[in-house]
Amino acid sequence: MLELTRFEKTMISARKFPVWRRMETKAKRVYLAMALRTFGAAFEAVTASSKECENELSQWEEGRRFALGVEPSGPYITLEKKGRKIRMIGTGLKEPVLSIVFKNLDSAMMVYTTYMGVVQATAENRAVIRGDNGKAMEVIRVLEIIMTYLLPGFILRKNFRTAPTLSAPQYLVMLRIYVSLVPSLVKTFF
Amino acid sequence: MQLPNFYEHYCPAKIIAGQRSLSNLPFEMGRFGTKRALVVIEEDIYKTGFINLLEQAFTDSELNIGQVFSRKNTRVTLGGAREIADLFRRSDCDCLIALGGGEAMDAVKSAAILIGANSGELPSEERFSMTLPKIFAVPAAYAPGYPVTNLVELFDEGKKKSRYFFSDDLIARLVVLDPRLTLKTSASNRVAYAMDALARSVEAIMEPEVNPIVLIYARAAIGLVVKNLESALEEGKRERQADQALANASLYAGIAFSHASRGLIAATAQGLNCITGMQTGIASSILLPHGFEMFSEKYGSQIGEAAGAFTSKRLSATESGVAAVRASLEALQGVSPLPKRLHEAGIIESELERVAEAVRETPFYCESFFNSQDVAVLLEKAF
Repeated sequence: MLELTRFEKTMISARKFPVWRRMETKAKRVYLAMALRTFGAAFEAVTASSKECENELSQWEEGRRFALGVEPSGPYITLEKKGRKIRMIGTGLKEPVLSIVFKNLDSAMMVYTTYMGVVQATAENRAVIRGDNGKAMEVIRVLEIIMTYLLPGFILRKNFRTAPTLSAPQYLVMLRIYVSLVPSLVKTFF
Repeated sequence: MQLPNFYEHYCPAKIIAGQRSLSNLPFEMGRFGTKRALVVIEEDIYKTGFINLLEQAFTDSELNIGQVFSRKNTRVTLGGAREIADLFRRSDCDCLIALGGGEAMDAVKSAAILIGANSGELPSEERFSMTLPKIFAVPAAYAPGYPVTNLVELFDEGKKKSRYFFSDDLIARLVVLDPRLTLKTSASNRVAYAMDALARSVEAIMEPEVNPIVLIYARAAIGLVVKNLESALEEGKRERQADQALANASLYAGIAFSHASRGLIAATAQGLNCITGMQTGIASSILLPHGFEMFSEKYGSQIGEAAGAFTSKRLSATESGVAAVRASLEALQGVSPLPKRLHEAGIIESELERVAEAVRETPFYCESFFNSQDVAVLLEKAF
């Protein structure tokens, strides 16, 4: 007989208790809130250093405000295009013209634990786009570039249909991004 | 195929299939404007703890489960349906979720009729018109087609007979196929469900009024069964993909078959189930090759069109048309651990007459398509 894994069985049994279920929901929310803040910081760091992002953002109108998050009650972050880079406005929905929100915590967890790529998740309708579809695709393209610079190769090969390969100058950019990510993270979290 | 001069096809069920699909249920329910669900679950499924997965999905959302009703794995009766309908009203729910197999689905459909009727009495007509609460289905067995048919069978204790009702509102608005929920299906049940799906698909194609949509679903179902049955049978091997493929095949077969909901094999399998208690999947598996032979001459060209779905490298059926289907069916029967004849399944010859009578009472029986003589011939051949 096909069987569930031991981990799956344990999780199913634990969810019998309402306290566990509430704790699990809370834990997912806390993790996603942190992951989204990290992404917010990554948006700032990568768009400031990457040539590809600069090209993408040159097409965007100034002040485009968009949000990323999870239905039904968050967490969310709101970001905005300012000059040649993207700036994180803060957590929550701050009047975005466009939002890309996951339908549930589990779908968001799959993406923010790098189990699945954001392009695949949106293709599978795991996220809802509210606003202009074309603009949403532009945001997703930037998100892909950010993933390329942030994540190690073995994850990229798993998550991308055609995994991007970085050139030597791009690795230098990557290094610069990691260094500049530290102050961005400090600013975002504290 | 030749496009019919006129056809209609209605299947409002939204299908969500794949990893963590259960987590999507509350979000989609919200889109239908429902907020509080009554969950009807079969007792043995309840024991597996799968209800905990559903409860977690609701805890993650803003919707909630009003009440969980665990029912014994017995035939759905009017009394049982009343109990669920009363609980639905008392717990202030606005939709129903069936978690389990065909019986959970029938229980939910029956309760929905009583809730819609408001009087607690069944409508006098088989085909009725009234608004029913929304139904959502989470199959934990492959449940061939139950969520996507507009039909329900209910045993009326007062009249001591099965009653059948039809309404498009009985079709589930949402069907969630989460791979975690079908993993506990035993190998023999998996084959039975798959063969049932195959039989329904073949009958849907042999239907005189077949339309292109039916053909698409039937072909997809056949293709999935042919390709995945062997892998899903391998004991101990974690072939989740094959398992999920068969679950999807069952659903597609149901959509294809529900277009006309009539067929010699389906009606005879239902008759065998009513009289002897034989699982319809096992009955379909035994009846399929014989039923196919009886109708292949008449509907050979239609079957020929679906033959492509049957050919599979694994089963090395290289012939074309009807011959390819015949070869594939033989190959599938070869790998199936199910009995090949009715007597091997414990049916005694004296029961066949009663079965033939019961077939006439099933909703799948259609005098203009086949008659009681055909049923008798099929039973005799399969015995």
